[in-house]
Amino acid sequence: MKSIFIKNHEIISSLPKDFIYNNHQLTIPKNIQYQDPIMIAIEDDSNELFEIIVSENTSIKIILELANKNQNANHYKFGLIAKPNSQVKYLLVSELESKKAIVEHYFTAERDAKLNLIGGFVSNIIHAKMHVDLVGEGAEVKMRAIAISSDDNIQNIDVLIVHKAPNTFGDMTNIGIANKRGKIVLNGVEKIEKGMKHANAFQTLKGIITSDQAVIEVNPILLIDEFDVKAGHGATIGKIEEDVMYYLRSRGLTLAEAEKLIINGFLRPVIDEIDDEPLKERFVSVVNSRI
Amino acid sequence: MAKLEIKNLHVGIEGKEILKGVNLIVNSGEVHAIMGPNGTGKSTLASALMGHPKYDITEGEAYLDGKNLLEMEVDERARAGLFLAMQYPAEVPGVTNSDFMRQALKATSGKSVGLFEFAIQYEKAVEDLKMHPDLAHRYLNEGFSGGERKRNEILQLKVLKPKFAILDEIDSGLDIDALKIVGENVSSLINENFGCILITHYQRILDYITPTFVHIMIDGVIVLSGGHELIEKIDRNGYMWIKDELGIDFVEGEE
Repeated sequence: MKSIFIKNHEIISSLPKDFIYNNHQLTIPKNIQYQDPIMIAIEDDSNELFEIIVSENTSIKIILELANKNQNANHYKFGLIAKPNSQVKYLLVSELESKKAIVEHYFTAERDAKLNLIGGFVSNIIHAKMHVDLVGEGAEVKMRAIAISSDDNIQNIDVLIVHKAPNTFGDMTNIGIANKRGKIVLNGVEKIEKGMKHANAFQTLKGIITSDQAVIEVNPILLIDEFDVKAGHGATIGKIEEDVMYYLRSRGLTLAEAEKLIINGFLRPVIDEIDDEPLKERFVSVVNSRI
Repeated sequence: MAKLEIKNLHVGIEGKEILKGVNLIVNSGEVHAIMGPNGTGKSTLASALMGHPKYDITEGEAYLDGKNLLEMEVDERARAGLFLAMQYPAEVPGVTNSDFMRQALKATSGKSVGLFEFAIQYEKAVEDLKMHPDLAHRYLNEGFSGGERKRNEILQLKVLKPKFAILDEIDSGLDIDALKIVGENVSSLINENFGCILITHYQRILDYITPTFVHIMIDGVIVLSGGHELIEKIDRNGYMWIKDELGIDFVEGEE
């Protein structure tokens, strides 16, 4: 896998062929189908901002690794613009130990662009924004935001999808898993502006807690200012069922092993959807780091 | 040679006493059928021995090869060699049968099992129980019919090879073909290293599994123990003759 390392607003590694980095902007060339994912890593850098531009007709898989052991305030601001007819599969891994992290991520999908976004959040105390604008007709986004809180982690994840063009498709599935004294707030908002006919907006928010002290709050919101659309939403929160735990443990699995199996099962639909092996492996290892 | 010993076991649920002093010794190589009308505590015995959190042990003891079962967590009991084929096994979405079984086999056998070796063993068991070949990749009990769930319990028993198994009404809801498959498979497992408690309401399964001993449980105690002749008597007359013969009064309750 090709890797790009960024530190202090500069790229400190070589760039893949024809990639251009200029003034906080990374431009990926047009008309190319990249088979292998590109990893972008930002390590031990508490304040970073940049924008990725995926040019026309290009398809690419990107893993953005955000890891920082520094406990001070962090602030990151990223953008991704998907140009017409481009396709982007994107995994954001947020593994921050900061006591006050802010991650803002803005995505823009132009005409017929397809975004497949996954956010894996295993941070300490974070407020994350994943904001998608569908600005071109035929633009699509599938967003999966998964947060796992343990110990005293508090993770606030805001996911916003705005339909600013007709015939756009937006689907979000946001899942929170909280154990010990962990807390997660998932806000899922999808907005269809007036005149954006034939837009499709779907939301699923799910939470599972494994202890009595863990807290999950989910807020699914649809704001629709147009009649000719399709939309739906649902939310569920629950504890791991006692009978399921008992059943697995009756076959010799320890409490921790049983919990891990159940949670991975809960995430199975999201895991199965990832059709790229390196992305899938990285996602599975991230979610299991906190269970 | 292993031994399961139950001494004067009293078990309650939500403050109501269900088992009122059960005594039973099961050696490996033996099959003990526990029969009795609905609601007399047969399933409570099974769940209490496995350690279901809902049940409170108020008095008595239970040992597996001299080790105190009642002090162990559910998973420790399993690793000590106890297995319960459940009446209503839970559904676990997203967890495949093979992932689960491989982990369970590793936990109970104490050693890790190669994927290939496991697959051969598992597929053999799937075939023996005449289950669908894609079973390994299906999620644990999700969308299974009642009969499939019960067969899956016996399949787990075959793969895990515990010292003792309690089969809790494994026969209820099975059609005659499935009953034969389940019965014959369980019967083939009985050897000098494996013993079994068979809890049943009907005698049909006993056509395939020959019990060494038959016990009749009424109102939380074993009131009568014997051999095959008890099955025939129940077959002919139901349970009501016990009222007259032993002078015990009871009513059939709900499970």
